[in-house]
Amino acid sequence: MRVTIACPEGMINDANQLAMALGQGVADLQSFRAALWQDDQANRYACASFEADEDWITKLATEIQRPGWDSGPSYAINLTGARRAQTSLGLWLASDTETQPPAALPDRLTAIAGLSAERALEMMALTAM
Amino acid sequence: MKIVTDFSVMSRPVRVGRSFNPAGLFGGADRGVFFEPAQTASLFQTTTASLAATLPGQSVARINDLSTKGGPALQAITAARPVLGILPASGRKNLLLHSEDLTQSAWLKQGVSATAPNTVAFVAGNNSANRVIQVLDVGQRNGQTFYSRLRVPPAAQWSDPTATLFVGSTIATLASVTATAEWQEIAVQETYTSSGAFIGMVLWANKATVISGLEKMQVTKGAAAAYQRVGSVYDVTEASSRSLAYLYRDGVDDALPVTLPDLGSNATIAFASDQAASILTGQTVAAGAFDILRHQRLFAMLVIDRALNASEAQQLAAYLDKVSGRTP
Repeated sequence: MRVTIACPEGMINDANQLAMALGQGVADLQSFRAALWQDDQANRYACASFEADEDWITKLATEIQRPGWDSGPSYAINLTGARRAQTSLGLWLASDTETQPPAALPDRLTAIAGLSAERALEMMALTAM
Repeated sequence: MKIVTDFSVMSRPVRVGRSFNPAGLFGGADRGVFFEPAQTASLFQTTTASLAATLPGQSVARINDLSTKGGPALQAITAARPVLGILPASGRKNLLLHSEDLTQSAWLKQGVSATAPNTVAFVAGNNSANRVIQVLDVGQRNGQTFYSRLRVPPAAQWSDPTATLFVGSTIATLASVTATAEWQEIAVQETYTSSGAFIGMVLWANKATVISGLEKMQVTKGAAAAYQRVGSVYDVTEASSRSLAYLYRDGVDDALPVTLPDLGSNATIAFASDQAASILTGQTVAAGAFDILRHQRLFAMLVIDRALNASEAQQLAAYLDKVSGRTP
């Protein structure tokens, strides 16, 4: 299932910690890069879109743990930051017929699952800068 | 000056010889790269090539160069990887997901249960309370015609032959079942006259009954079309149409760069995507990262540090048209 996430510019560091914790290695620190999208209030966002498996969804629903590849002795992932990002992330499923898809907000991570990236960004009311 | 030539537009039809392989364009001194996702042995889910990517829907972290003159294209960032897909050369027509598996979450079960991919235990009720539904976001439906149909079992095999199955928002009953070589089908054609982005296929019965043998669900825009199996958005096949393999770029963050040496100012870049099959001549390719993904779907990409002669260009143009489904 495709997941598209909009990350406010000020939360990129935490979001990348979360991306590493849910990802496969230190390269995932670059998951959210330049803030190239904006909402109608000119708030800027960095976005990422990818295919997520059931395991990714399951991990997101429970408290983030350090993955096996980040074994130390000096850890790559700042778990505090990753959990901060996790707490602020709202995930909306396209199969949800009861609620409207969320618009991106400047104080939280917004994720839409089950739509193409293009459609998800449109639902979040984001436009490319 | 960059000269852009679209051979798929200007050239006369050319048959690709079965022996033509773009990798053969690379002579001893030539440099460059050639990638073709249809050569699935060149695809991997890891940058180290430790795990092959062979199935539609798998993310691709590495594609090996088939020219043997360059290196692989790599993506270490999980979220930025393209996805391997297949689709019929005739193009995707079935808008549904999981067209043969009602147990998938794309099919919402409201008041009913799908006990097997093609079996639903219906209960008596109306179509808003007890149904199986897949909602499709079509952008704008007003004025558009959609054609819904599915394969159903012969009525005599039903546990309750008096039950009626409904498909789409326009009611069609078993009385409208049509037997064809491919389908024993219920079909509905609807032209929407109201605005909105969503349509759907809805299945419900007016009696409590278990119906098995529901399969080959399909919704097409416009006229009816040959059945296409849709396993996922990346896995679409049609029995009567050859399959094309591609790398899907999401348009947000995906990239698959290959590191190239300085190929000078007379390089040739050729690619086939969903948007174009093009041979770009006189290109300047500096040393560094070169993203091979063009547009949403990439079928082939070739970069070579020289101009092609007319024969080579014509064969390559025909090849690009073929791998992208522009020619049969």
